[in-house]
Amino acid sequence: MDYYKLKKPNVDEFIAELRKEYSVYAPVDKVGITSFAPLAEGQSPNMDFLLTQKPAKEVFYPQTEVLLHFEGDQTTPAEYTGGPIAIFGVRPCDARGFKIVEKVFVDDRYKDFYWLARRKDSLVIAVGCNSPVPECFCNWVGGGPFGTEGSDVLAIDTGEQYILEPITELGKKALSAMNCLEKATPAEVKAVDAPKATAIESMTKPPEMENLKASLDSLFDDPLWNDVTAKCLGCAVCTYSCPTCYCFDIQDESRRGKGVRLRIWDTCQFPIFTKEGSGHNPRKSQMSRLRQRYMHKFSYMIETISEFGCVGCGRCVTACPVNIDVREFIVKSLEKAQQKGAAV
Amino acid sequence: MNNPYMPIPVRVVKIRNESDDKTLRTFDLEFVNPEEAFDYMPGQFCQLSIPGAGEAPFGIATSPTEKGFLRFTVNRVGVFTKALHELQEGEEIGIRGPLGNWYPVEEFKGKNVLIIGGGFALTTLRSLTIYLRDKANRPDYGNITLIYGARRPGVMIYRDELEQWETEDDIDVHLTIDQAVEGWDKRVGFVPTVTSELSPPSKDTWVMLCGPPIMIRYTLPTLAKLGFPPERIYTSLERRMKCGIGKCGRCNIGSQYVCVDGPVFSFAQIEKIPEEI
Repeated sequence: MDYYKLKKPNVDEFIAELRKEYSVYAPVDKVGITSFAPLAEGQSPNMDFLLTQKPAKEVFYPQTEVLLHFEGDQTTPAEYTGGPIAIFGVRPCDARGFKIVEKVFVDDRYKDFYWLARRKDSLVIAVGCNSPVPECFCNWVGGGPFGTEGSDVLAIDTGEQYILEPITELGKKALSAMNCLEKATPAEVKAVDAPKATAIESMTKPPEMENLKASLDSLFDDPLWNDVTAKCLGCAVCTYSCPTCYCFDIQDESRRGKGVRLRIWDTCQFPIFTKEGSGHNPRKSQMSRLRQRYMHKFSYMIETISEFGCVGCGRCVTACPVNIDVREFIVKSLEKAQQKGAAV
Repeated sequence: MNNPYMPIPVRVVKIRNESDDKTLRTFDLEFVNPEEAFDYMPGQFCQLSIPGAGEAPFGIATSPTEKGFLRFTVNRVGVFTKALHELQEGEEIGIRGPLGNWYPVEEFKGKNVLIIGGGFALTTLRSLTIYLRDKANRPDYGNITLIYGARRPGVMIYRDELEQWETEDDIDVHLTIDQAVEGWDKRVGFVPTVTSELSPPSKDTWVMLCGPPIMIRYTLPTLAKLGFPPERIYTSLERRMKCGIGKCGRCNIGSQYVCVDGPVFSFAQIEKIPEEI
């Protein structure tokens, strides 16, 4: 497959070319929070930070989204009219998150109309991570700083330029149609190997993640959960910043016979998430709610979609106001399950 | 593309109070466009939708053998059920469904069925009872026994129908209330006690059990004592829901979603779920 090179001063031209066919989303620093947003004509992406604070999932799954419009007796579904989407500058962890959310939203029973409307014909251009930070742990959960799952193109930063590797047929087609790109020479392609290896080498070695599901299953009623929850405030920043948390609420808003049905990101960390009409709440304690989050991601999702509901982006580690680190919990639970197993 | 969030229109054709305190109300609905009418099975549920007020899940109380309408009995507990209770006959609302799985009527063909209900959880058990007793289906099943308990006669739902069934000979009906009151000449006592008194034989018998958690908690040991294995005891689980189609994550228990993997589960399945039901 042909690799291409994109000189950094040509990024704006590359975006302008993409804009002819796509709504282009890229990292921006908007009112103090970094996120993916559609670029206006002439607007440059901000490539200075490793990860946006908000996960890239909002490109296909907005935090608030209209499902239906109501007017008088008429109910009509909201239509997505933004055209095909290209994302530039997403990190491999976020790109992999798209695939995981999609496994839930598009299964053989029901296909999510709204997710698919935005995902249709979309082009994902990821940028590999030359310098993972200490919070990164994609290598624990099946990914890597140059992972390609979920991406159509992987860009590798070599300082002066990006080397673009087409991953899918769509990516190949898109790159070959670009005027601002040149083919990379074999030497230039070879030159990415060293920074790739350095990045992977710099990351913390994962514990025995293949034992994690069984370990957690054996610890469901263990006091370990009380220890990990003791300082948890239940603020839910971990779920809102997570690229694979997909839970949502549905709410109606209306005024004088006109209104909308909305879906809004929701969180299993709030008691009202499971509180029933009768007042009964099957998850009363913060311990049971944090346990749900970890069990769902590291045990239940192995059963439902055969992979972890975690891409190791580390946003939950960075954002937690009381420094709860999911990796510490993983290591502790593996140790504890092993001790328990040995004791039997 | 099919949009699973889009409700289809139904008209409220009949409303009646189901309890003397007016907290329970029964709604009969007809499809506005008959070509949109769907098939369903006993135990399935629907999302009822009122634009501007929201949506909530309710078990279908009619049997698929009762053609032409859908019945739901709604307990007024919150904002949305209040809006439902304020509906008038003739008004249009929305419906999404049928959702979820159903009672395993194929699996227990040729067997006896013990139906145990409590409170207003009789809705989908009504659907099941009528389905099993339908002329075309009745020969496929052995004895049908129904034990139904309510706190008092005034909150016993579908009472006229139940008293009619008491007089019919292809079903054994046992109605009970918690405490004796004047004018009540049937059984008195909690469902687990009545079940224990009746001691239905467990041989070749499947149990469908629905009711408040406290009733279920005390009925299960009684059934175990009578020799019913958990594989043959089914219930319909309740969880707060939003989407009803396995996306919004709310009704997740263990690796299951109550909305798409349930709501009907056997106790053998439930025993494997780590969380409390």
